[in-house]
Amino acid sequence: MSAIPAPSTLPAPRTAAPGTRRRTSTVGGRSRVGSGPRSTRTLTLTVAPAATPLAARRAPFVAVVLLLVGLGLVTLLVLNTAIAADSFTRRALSQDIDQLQLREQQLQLEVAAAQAPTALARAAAGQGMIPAGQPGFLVIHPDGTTEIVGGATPAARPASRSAPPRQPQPPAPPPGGAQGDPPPGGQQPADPADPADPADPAAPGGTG
Amino acid sequence: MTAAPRRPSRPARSRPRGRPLRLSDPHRRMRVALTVVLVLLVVVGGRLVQLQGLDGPRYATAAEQLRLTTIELQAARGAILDRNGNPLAYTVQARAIFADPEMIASPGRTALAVAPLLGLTPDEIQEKIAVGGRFVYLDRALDPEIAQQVMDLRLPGIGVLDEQRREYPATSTAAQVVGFVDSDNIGLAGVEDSFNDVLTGTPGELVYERGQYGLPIPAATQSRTEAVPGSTVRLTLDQDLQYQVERAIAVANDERGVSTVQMVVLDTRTGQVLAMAGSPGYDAANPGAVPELLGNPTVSNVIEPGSVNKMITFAAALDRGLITPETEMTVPDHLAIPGSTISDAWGHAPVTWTALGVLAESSNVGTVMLARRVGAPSLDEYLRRFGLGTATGIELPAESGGILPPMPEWSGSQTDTIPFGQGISMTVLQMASMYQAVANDGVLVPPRIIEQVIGPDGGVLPQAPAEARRVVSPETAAELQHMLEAVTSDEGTGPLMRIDGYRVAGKTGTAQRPNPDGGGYAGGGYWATFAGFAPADDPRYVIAISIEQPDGSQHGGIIAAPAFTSVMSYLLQDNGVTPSGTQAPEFRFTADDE
Repeated sequence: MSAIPAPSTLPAPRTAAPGTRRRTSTVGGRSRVGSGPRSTRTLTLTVAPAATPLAARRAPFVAVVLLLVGLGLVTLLVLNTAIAADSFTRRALSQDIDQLQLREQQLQLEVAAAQAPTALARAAAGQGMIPAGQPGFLVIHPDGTTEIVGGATPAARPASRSAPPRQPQPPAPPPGGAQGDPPPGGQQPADPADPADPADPAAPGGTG
Repeated sequence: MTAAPRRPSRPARSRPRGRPLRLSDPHRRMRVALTVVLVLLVVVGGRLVQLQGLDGPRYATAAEQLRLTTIELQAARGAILDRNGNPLAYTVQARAIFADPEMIASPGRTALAVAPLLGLTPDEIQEKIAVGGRFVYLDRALDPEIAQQVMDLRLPGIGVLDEQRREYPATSTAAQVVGFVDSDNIGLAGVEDSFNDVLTGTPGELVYERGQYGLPIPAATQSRTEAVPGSTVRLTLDQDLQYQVERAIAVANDERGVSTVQMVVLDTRTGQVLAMAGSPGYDAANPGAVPELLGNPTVSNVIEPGSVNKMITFAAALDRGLITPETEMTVPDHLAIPGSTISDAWGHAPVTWTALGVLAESSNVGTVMLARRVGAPSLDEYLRRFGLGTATGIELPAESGGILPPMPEWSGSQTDTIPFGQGISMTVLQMASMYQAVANDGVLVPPRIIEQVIGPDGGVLPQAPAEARRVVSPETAAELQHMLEAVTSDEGTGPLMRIDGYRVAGKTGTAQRPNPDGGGYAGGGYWATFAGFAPADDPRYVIAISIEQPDGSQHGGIIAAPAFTSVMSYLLQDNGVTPSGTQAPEFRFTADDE
């Protein structure tokens, strides 16, 4: 290009500014070409405000976006952490449940084993209990008389009278005065320390 | 300025060499480059479409498969309960400890560490590891706590697996009925076997994406199909009664010094089995020790019933209207039959008994005379009506129907021995069942042992009920009950069967036992049998017993008495049966009686 500037080009920005605007407006709509002279008349010139730099104008938008992104990231992080923490809690709790289930299972096993007839029989024998014989039945007739049906026989005392360890715990009746008296209330089971004859017809109607 | 004239000379110098200078066309170069780039792009794009679009799902699946892990969720095997809901068998969680021998650097040290926890010797563990391979069980069915202790040792090559263990809290009680399972929880005997399909559940599965350390990735794909547990089977057995029966059998074993005792308790009205047991049985703790003892003798082993079978001969005669309990007949103490002679258990001059007397005194000769009046076809019909020769259909494996040949095949002597219970065989369950029919006013309800099957959702699954059938008329049944009660009177063969406060009816028997080594009855010993019910005035329970008797010196009325009375009186008490309000009537045994 030649280094000589066209003399007409220098003032152009000043004078041509309205023209430029007009021209640009015509690009948009042909109809305004005719009204051109009119608009030139009304056009007032003002001092353009100092153009704000593009970066400065976008700053709030960028800030908002950054804020949103930041918030999103933080939320995501928090959520992720929460999920991870929850999964740890869940794992710990489910381990607890497993442990408790195993414990429950263990206890049920013990109960079931203790409930089994063999275990019950052994436990009863350990307490000094013996299988009951045939009971007698007391029939009360309408006239008030009673009749004993069936023979109630006292159960035979077991051959080996190994005193069970738990038996001595109930306090023995005091030595004085209790000799001939039946135990108060009669609640006390056959006292193993009592050498009373097992065939003693304590049971009603011991007809054999 | 000087350079200007030289410039044009350069082309002039090259031109003479005959290669015309052709300036490359930049557009053309660009086009070529563009084409090349585009072709490359098409190739890359095509590949992309191929990988992502066409094969994409496949690769995605393959990648997911790498992360996906499937775990089988074991379905708990259903429980077996007694009639009151007490558990006889149920399943608990257990663990198996396994080893990967290839990963174990020092088997000796590993064995030493693990052995005390597993209750094994280090040598045993080392032997198992020495087998090699990648997987070997060290111990199974362990308590989870023990498995945890082993895992806490953090030994390389030792791992743990979940499994299930079958618990039998009642131990030996009802073991023959309940049966047992193998190490993979498949039923091998008893109800565990016959109801295996019902008890076994449907396993579920858990599919999840696995992270680096094997833990599930949270919020990733997971699908869980819950396992469906097996159904629960409720038996008609009463656990406590079963214990009493087994104790009575043990007592009989000890007192008699014999090994073979069988006993069945039925509910008269429903035909339900309340207890059944036989010895010898297997050891519940170690069922496989003696393979031939794995069955349930009360349904699988047959015995010759002896005089207990006379009841059917009398039932046939009564039901056909040939006799009444009062019918008199003069009976000698022996009678010739084809190829042999039968005689009564004791010598006597010819007696004029009533039919009742013949049954209550258990005269073989009188019974055979009666059977001849009934005739073999009729007798055969009644034997089969009472269920002999056919399995009862009880829900237990390996049931025998006894041995009753078709009537035309009866040998001459069989025609005369079957009436008093020789030459015919039956299970003790069948023996109990035929007395159930008499006690239930002539209606036989085939014995059953499953009360209900309860589905995993708690709903009761319907079971086909046993079809009750009339065997003899109610009048015949009443007459039979009366005659059988005479057996337990002072003059009968079973006075020891009486229970204070209750009237008892039944029939004793002593049968020759075929020698297990073959060659007829010689040396085979005897069966002492008894089948009876109480209270005789309103029968509730039937008990049938057979006890092996080496020398035959004492008959069933004596030998079976302790077992019968102890179990029956327990039953009556435990179920609150009111005592018989009446006394047994006077029985007319002989023509001379009033």
